[in-house]
Amino acid sequence: MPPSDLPRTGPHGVRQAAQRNADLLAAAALAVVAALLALVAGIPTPVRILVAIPVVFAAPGYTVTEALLPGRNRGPVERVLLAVTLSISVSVLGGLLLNLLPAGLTRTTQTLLLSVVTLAGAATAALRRARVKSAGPAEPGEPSEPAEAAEPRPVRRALRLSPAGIASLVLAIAVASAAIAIGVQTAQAHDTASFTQLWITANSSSTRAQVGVMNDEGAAQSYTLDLTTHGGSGRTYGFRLQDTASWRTEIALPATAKGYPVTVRLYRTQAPGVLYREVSLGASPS
Amino acid sequence: MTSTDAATGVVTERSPGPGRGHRRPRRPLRGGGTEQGKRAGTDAAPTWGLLPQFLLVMAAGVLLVALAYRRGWEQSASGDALYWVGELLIFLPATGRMISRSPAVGRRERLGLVLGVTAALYAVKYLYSPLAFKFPDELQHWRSATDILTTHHLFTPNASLPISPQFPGIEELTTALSSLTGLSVVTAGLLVAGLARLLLMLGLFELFRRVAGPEARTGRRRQGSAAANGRQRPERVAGFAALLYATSMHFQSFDAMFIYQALAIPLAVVVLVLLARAPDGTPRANRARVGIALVLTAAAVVTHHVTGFALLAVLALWAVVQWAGARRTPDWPRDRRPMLLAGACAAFLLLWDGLVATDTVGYLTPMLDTFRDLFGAGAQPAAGAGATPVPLFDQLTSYGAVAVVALLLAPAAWHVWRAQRHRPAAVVLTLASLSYYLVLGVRLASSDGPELAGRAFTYVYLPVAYVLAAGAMAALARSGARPAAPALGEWEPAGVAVGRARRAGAWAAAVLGRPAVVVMLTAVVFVGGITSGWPPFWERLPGPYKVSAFERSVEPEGIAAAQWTLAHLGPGNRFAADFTNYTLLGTYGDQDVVRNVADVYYSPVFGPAQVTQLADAGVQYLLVDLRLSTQLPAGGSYFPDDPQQDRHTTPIPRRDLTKFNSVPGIDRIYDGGDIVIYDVQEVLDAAQ
Repeated sequence: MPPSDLPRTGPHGVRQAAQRNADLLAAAALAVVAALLALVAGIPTPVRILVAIPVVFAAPGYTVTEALLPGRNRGPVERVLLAVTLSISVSVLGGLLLNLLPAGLTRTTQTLLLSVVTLAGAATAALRRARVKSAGPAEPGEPSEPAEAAEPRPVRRALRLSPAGIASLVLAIAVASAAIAIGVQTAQAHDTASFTQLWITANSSSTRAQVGVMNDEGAAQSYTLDLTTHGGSGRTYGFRLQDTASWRTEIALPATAKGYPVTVRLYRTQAPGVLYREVSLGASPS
Repeated sequence: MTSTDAATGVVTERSPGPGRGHRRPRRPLRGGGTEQGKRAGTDAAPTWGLLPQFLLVMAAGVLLVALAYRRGWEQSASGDALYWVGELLIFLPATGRMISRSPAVGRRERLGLVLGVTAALYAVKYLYSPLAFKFPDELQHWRSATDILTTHHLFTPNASLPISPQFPGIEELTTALSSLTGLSVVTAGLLVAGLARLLLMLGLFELFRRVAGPEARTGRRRQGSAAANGRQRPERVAGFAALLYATSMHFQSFDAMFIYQALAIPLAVVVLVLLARAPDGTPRANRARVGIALVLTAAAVVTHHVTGFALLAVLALWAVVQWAGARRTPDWPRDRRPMLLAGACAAFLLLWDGLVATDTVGYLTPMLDTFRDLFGAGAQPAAGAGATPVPLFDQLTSYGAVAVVALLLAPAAWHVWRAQRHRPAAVVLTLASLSYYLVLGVRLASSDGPELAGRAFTYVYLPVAYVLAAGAMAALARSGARPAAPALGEWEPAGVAVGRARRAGAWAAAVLGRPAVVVMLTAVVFVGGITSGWPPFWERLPGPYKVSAFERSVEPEGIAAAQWTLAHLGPGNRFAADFTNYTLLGTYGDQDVVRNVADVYYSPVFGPAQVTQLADAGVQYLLVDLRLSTQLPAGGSYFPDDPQQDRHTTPIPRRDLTKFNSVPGIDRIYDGGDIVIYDVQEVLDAAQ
């Protein structure tokens, strides 16, 4: 590399380079933090979310785009589009490569993939920026990348919102939040059902069977369970289950393969005469 | 002080001179911008304009929809009215603002309106079921994503949708997000689908803007072309086109779901965005853009089968247009990128579908058969929408939307062809838009046409939206400049009939060029898109359980039964079940559910024929949902392959569903109240 191509060194040069590459440094820092978080257990979910979302959706694509298309030659919309779609492509196409590894797609490998691509893109972009800077402006007649969408640089004042605009925006956020809260609360309140599950399953050798009850009634419930085998012998269980709690027992099945009819009937204590659930093995329930 | 544009007749008010004070114009400038902005050829109003106020209106619309959903759960009759008011509040004010020619409406505001409408419509979809996926396709992709998290590898078989693991793009992204954040697959999937929505509309805005963009970027300025195009700002056409795309049948719900095309389509659109920018940079930058486009093409191909083929079709058409244009026109812009990208896309498809996604051909063949049948003897009239008659409002708006688009597309395409035929991208979109009529034929003439056409409209509407928007903007621009329709006598030399016809045409064009008419027609198309799309009228609002009603049938008891099968029987058992439990067992239960044993349920007896049918299908377990005996199927069929589809007049008798209780050798192993599971292996073994 000719000396003129080398980045300037020294405190001033380093500061300039850091200022020039502040975006790349931020992306690289995110990638490093994400990689560290992937290796540490017990990190709170909000912290993971804050770091992971830009690393999954923006950082790799942004640095790769900066490496491939350095300079201010893209409009803001194209900038966003390329950063996000390339980041997505890293996960999609990179996942195919991770699948070839024995470990496959884990939190560690996926984070490392995204971080390595981000860091490689940032390093390449920084080098290209340094070269462009050291090479100076393009010679007259030399082709250069025109600025896309010759939009005037945004005037900060023009972008400020009026008081009415600010109030409207705050109100809009509040109303949208209320809508989401209502929607979620409605779904939580209505999208429910009250039921109890009763089951019986024999093991592979048909010598024993698992009997189970699960309470999904939305409240604690008392049950009576009658277990009868063909021939009349039986047993009754009484128990109370909290909501979403389950009860299980294991029973021995009669030795004769074809002669083990077992019927299990479940009653709720509040309505003892009303059959609530019934399962059976090898029997014809009533 | 005012001036009149000689080409368009648009009246423009100039700013007063420096010596006359700095008063604001008394009325908004017309003609698309300030004089300064016109000289610069740029948007002179880089402000947010009234965007916050319009966002507030959209938020109010979302709130009304949320309240409508609550009414739906409460079975209140006022839910529908709230829903429609909310939907229209989200869409119509933004549309009215978008077609405004006021220079106060800048590019940022237009883009903000597009993204605001997108976010609000996604909120409408999200609030329908904010806690869990309920649509079958979403659940099937949830299964594939869960399998990746469980096995850490791709391509785990998914019996509920075998093609899904072979196109793992959206699942890879979702599991990456889920792994890194700790969010559930549902939450991560909702985030991915929402981001994909915004990305799609951002991409469409940019694509349409570039296609309609400045003459200098895409070719030589043609005499009269700007006038024919109505001197439109590209972002005005782009914004309106993007909003029109949001009126397509499945935009609001199906395409916003956690399904593979939700991610693939934005990737494909960005490929077109890159292609729509003329190769005007340095060679290195041009090569870099092509390289990025290749990466995005590959990502789209491995994410969704149909999107890959659709992208290939557009790229191939683009390449043909380039080739034909270069042969016919000496100053046609030379560009080999479409050919290169089309070739690469074809190669990716061959490699992926030939080596990895080997089920693709078998999966897509039945859909191609429908197109073939359309032109052969196999065409069948479109079936009804299930057991419940379609309300008149839905029929009127649905057919009204089709009529509006079908009637206006051809003249709009003719306009774009005349105005922009020197631009390859515009020519491609114009030609592609005409495929709307083919898909419309499928929709009206084929028995499974509505579903197939709905899927196809997702792609076809992309060029249709641009062409309609460009046509509408030109009509709006001309309406202000159009001289009064000629008197009848002026046409006398050509005959009275011709004169009347031309007067009628001039009158129609003048009417269609009024902003209120444009907004009204857009409203018809928007409402028609909803009524002909998803969800159908019988579950437009969420609510209590209904039989065979897609999302309305997914409730905790069915989910619990499916989860029980996975926990106690293990994965991959052969199950028979009804339509809803078919999905739940295949996803929450990870079971292998058969489709073609409906007659076993319909039969009043369980005899040798039923045993043979179950044995042939390899069924091990039968799931019976006793609620099938309480209602007719909202979707028209009780079972996945229902021989009595759309012919049910009464529910299945309960005794037919409980007949398995008295069959010796059949074990009743699970009772959840409404759902009973039988183990039929012994009786089938005995029969063999």
